[in-house]
Amino acid sequence: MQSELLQRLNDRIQAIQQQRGRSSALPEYRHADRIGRDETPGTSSSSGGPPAQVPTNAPAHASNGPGTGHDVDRRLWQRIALMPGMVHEWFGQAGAQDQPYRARVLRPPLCMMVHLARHAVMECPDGALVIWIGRACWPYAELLAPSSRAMPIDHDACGDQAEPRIGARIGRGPDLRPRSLFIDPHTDAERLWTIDLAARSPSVAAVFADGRGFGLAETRRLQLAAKGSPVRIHLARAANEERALSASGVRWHLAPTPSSTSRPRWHLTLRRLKASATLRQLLDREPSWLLEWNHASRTVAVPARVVRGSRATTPASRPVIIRRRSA
Amino acid sequence: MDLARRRRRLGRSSSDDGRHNHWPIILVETVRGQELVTHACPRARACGIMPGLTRSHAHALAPDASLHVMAHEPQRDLDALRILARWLHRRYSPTVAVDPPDGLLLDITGCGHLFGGEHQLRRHLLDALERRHITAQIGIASTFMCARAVSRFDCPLGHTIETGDEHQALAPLPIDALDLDDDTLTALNDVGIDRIEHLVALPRSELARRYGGDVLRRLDEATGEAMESINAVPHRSRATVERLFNGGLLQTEALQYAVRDALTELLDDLQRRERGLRRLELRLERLDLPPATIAFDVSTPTRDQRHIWSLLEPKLSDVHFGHGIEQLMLTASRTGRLPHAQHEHWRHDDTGSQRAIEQAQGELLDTMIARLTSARVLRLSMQDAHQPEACARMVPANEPTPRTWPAPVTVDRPSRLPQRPQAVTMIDEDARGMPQRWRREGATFTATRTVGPERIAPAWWDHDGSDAPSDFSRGFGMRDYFRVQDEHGRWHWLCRMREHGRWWHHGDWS
Repeated sequence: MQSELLQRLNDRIQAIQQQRGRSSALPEYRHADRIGRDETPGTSSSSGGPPAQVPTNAPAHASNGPGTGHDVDRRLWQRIALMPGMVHEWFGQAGAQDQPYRARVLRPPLCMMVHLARHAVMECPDGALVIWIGRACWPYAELLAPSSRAMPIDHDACGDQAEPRIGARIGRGPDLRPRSLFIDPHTDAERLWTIDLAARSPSVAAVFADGRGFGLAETRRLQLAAKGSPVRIHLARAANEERALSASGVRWHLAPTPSSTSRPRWHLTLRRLKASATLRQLLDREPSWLLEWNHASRTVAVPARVVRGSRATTPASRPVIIRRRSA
Repeated sequence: MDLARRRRRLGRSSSDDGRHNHWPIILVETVRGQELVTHACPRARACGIMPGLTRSHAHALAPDASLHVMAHEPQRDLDALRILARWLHRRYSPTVAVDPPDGLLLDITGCGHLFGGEHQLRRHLLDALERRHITAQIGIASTFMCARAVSRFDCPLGHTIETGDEHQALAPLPIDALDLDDDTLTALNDVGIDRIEHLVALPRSELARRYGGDVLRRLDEATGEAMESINAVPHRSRATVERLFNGGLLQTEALQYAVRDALTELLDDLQRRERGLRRLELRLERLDLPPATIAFDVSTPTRDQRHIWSLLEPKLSDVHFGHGIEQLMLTASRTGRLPHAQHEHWRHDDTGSQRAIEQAQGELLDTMIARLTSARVLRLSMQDAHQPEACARMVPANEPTPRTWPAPVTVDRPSRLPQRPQAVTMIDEDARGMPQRWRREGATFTATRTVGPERIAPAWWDHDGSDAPSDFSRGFGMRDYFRVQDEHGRWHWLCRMREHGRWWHHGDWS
């Protein structure tokens, strides 16, 4: 039953892509005119339930058959995450053991940010910058080095006009080190001003910023700056701010999950997507993906074993689409 | 010239305390895998080191084998020569040309009397160059080629040749003085023609047929029978705009209007010169107060008035007017080349957009630096170091970026490296010394997977062995790193100092 649904979903995505022919799926996302159609700010997080439930719920619905149509699904998250014209908010998970010291503290998803920066840079013309705002959001420099292995090139995710760079083709991802700019704002006002400034500059590919303490007014300002701009704005929010009001277009929740390999894994959940009706209809209420960090390519991807469709040992290690409410 | 510059730099460096300043200096260049001497300073020449020898030969000839050996950089030599030419152009003569690799040609027609005669001019110039640690030989003659020859070779008539004496002065000089190409020189030397007088004695028609018209042309230029032309460095002055006010100016709006107007004029001037602004200085002369100066840099050459004004305006509003501003002076104290916009239409489309991106990048940087200061707008600068915390450093973004970057490490590294590693209390280690349970900041973690150890050792040349560093702030000891997954699926980068077995948390994957 579930696998049939997944299959139908993937077929529809492919059909829509074929209809559009060579134009990418991105312009559709860009002109997101029906913002807030089915969600009002603030209610989305309450409908999500406690984040810790995501992995435990997963096996109950994960009964998809091997090898069918996973290709579109496993990159759908990336396509949404690379959507320009939206403010993406990233929430971490505050675990029980975090409570005494980490609940208030930001835990930016830096692996994910590096992955997105890599893909954003490949789409943009040479010399476009990646801007890291706020000391907490500065990734370790080694992760910005060119990957020793080829990045998985994804034409769908990059859009059609994004011809992969030569370096990527011959087996190296882009070098983010010369293109990264690190900003250390001291006050919230400075932080907001810098994000806004960077979001309006044509020389910027993506902005990754510390979004702690931003409320409705701040996120609305950023969302307005993002609209119509090719710059991707990603805000790292503290785990305890998930109930805070915000006008951002996309909300993600990233929870670490025990891994059976020696690579870090996360459960990624899409908590909010203020997108066009077409896209909204394609997606379930809160789709979720299992992702794994690959240091050699310095990217994040759905684990290979799951993609190939072989039977995974841990029940959680599958791409799952979770339905919270029965449709 | 280059030698002199280098010697000066050596003299300034404190590392050798000037002890080795007397050492001879040679410049070497690698030719077909051999390091050959291309230039040698007078001291080196006195030891018998000549251009063309190998480096090892030069070392053997030097007393105590003590030599300063440096790479020959022709482009930097040429750049330095151009700068010197500009300076001479301002001080001595309106027409100065560069004669690579190491010559300068000055047309001093009518300039001698300003210094009290050509002889005094020559003395003055030599003194000025000597003060700048540049050794020079000066020849004065009525033709450039003749002056060039007598400055480089010893002439019985001295270094100043009167008009009409060219033939006599040139006759005993070797034919090298004529600036001929190597093939012609060898061909002439082969038949025994060494001096210019031999050349003059030959029939002109024969000379042109056998060795090409170049020989005759050079000869005629030297003797003044043919016209010479030199490629003079262009006259370039600072772009400056001044405004004088009738009485002290007291209104902010009036000052803004005046500065804006001056800025437009300055940028028009820069446009004519195909230059872009890199540093702007505004000097305001005030009544009863010392002049106020506003200066700022922009990261890419620009002529965008809107951008410059956006940087200048907030600074302008801070100025104390005193009893009124009498005069303003706007100077482009540093400029960079910025081609006219029209040129771009003929290039490939890509470069146009590329330039637009660079321009936008520069504007973004300038705006950020103007508000946050350059200490908080940073770029990466990588060092080739093994210490995880030492390999990356942040530098202000307006400093130039390095061309090459060290190769990335292939082993897994965390996504976040805290500024200071945190001490970890290890509750339980297994028999092999792998972490099992640990406590950090009040929370207890249990390992479910461990990868490691990865040993990172200090470089042997850094380690004096006297004092084993006990924590991160004091040097770098041998460490074993483990990637550990806790029960919640988070990965931590723990390390143990070898010296005392204490544990630290040095990063995580988030």
